[in-house]
Amino acid sequence: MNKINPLYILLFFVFFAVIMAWMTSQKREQEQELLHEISLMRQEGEYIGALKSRWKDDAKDLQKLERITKRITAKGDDIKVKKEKGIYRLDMPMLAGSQVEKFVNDVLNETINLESLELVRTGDNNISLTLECQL
Amino acid sequence: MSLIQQKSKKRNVCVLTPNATCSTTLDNITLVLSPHYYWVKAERLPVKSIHQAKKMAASLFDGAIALGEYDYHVIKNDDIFWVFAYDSVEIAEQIAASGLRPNQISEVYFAQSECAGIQSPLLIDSEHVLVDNEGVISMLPKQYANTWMNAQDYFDSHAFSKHKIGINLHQNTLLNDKTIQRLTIVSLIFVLIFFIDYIRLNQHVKALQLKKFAVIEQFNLPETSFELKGLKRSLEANEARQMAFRHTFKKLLSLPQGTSFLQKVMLKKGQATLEYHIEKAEDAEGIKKMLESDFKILNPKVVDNTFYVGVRYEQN
Repeated sequence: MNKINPLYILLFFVFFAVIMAWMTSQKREQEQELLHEISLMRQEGEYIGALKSRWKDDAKDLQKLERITKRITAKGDDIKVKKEKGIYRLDMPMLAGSQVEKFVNDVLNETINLESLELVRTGDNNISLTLECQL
Repeated sequence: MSLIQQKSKKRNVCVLTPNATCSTTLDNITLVLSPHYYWVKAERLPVKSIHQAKKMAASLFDGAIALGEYDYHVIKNDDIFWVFAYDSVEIAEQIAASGLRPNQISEVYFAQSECAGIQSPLLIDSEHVLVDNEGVISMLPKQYANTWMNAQDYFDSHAFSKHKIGINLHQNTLLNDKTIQRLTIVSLIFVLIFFIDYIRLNQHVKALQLKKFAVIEQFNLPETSFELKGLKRSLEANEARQMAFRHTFKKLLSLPQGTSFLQKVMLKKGQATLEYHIEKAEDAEGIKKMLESDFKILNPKVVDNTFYVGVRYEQN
């Protein structure tokens, strides 16, 4: 007891309290940063998830395309489908104007990754349609 | 000379008397307080423990000693309590005046506890002796004693008691002992509060880090923000490209159809090529003007009744 001045003990505890306060404030900052980061990641995740489901779901895109095609064509219609290197190519050389209008409207209103679209008038009421999309 | 210093086998003993001076070269000094620095009462008290007796100590000396701030020490001997009152500040000042530093002193005793029962007076400095007066040690001028023994010789063979005094020899001028004690306790409480808060935060941070990984897994996100930004940019660019594709195609299909009509349209990666059937060459100018308002025109030409033109559109 005689060896250590109590003032030094007080100063030690004050110093220790200051250090602990600083460490605690650093931890609190880290906590706030993490909370912000998680909230941001959740928002980004939902946004990216929505973008992915709209534009990166190949199986869904294929279903949509087949459904639209079926809606405007009948059995025995001339339809050629080719899939090569991630590109899905659809050729329909003998379509009526009304079929093309419906098809184009439907395709453009769906979230399908279109690469190219070609319409060629081959007769008075005959249009050839070629569509390429990423699948 | 008012301070006796002596080297025993292990102890350097000093007896503290008024006007003391002491060599500052010795360490681990055992300090013995002469009766000048304390008051003592031997009483039978209606209590059992030293702790309870200590609580009564102040009232025992009430009116018997000058007003001031005193510390108290109690020694129990059979059923007699020896109650001591002393002034730490005065003792600390005297030690400082003697040239000693508090950290040179290892233990402090009362002369009462160490010299009780001495057979002959002890010479403690050039002018004073310690005498045992019916069990109470007193300090007297040496003229009152016929013979005496040198204190140095006495402490050489003396076995010290277990009754050390816990005395604060560091007297601070700015803050007194009680203030320092209170501030120390407050600081300690703050340390504890911050420590507990730190532990709680640390656990929460760990839980949040796990939650962050869970969110990354849930949304199948890349781990670095750089990769995340890249992925977001690429998806946004793709969406913008698809929107521009649709917007352009609709624009091209909305060109007037009549005697002049669209023969062929092909849209691909930021470019479109058109073949437009026209009745007369001037119709091409009208179509070109319409296209120019939205697109950049590429290689326009008229061959027979067909207007060939390319357009470039912004993909983002």
